[in-house]
Amino acid sequence: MKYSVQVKIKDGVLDPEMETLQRLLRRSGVKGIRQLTHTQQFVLEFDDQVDATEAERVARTVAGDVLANPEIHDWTLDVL
Amino acid sequence: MSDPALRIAIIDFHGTLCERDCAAAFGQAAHVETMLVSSEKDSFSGPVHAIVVPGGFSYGDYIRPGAMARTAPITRALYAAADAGTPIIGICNGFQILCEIRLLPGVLLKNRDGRFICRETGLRVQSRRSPFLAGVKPDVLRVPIAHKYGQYYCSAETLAELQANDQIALCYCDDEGQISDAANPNGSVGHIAGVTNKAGNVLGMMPHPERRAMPWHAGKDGNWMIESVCA
Repeated sequence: MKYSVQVKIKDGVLDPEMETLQRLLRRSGVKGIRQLTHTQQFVLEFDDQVDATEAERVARTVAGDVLANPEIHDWTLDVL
Repeated sequence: MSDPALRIAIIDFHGTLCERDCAAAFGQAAHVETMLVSSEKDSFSGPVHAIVVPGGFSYGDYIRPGAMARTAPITRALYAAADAGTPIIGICNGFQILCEIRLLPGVLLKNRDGRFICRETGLRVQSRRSPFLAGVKPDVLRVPIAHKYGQYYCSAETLAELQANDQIALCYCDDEGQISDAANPNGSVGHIAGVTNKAGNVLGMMPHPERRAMPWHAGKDGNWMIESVCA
């Protein structure tokens, strides 16, 4: 089983990196970008002997406990 | 030789780098013994009077500063100590760790202007519930900060809870002790420099009291906090 965890900063939480990048792009002549955000993708590939139910449970735990911080992140889990 | 009265554990995660400064600062009094405890241990090997989670770059700040600490064996012992009421302080990266392992509410984001900041700042003591602050007499301390991820953030609901429960321990202020946007170096919500858990025994703060404690430091305001917990 292979899962993708996508982690993005919640709306309303300041992301200085993306703000700076957007400002620098604008300064260099890039026009028309209203908002710039980024999403981190983590791919979790499980051993063959782990069944799908257990794999999804572990993937959700790792995503919610370590990969994302619920205070500032939204995350999604997809089967690849 | 009789046993020292107080044992203070200083946790050494992979990438922690303020552990020796903390050991020197917290171990000044003759009745205090400090001991470095590797994050690979799953206990403190005996009773401890207080626990320090020092600053640094644990696990290279991978994923987010402090996030990887959740996987360390010592973290379970930290949960148990927090539940038992042991005084715990997280300084800088230690504060980030305590937030990421959910012993403290909120999270530390990149500074408002994205820059690493290294300078002295004023700190107004807002609550003395933490044993590290109970004996601090002045209302304003001068202590340095050195961080890139120091912007304290929490939701509006969490902020209201912190206020209602008297969990806001320290706020950034100017030389006169005034709290303002101008005196807030990193954009922290509510000008927060330090918070406690609901019970008050776990404190996290971005500034470094251990860097204002020794005779060769530019000031000794940090000693108020050290003497407070060692009293």
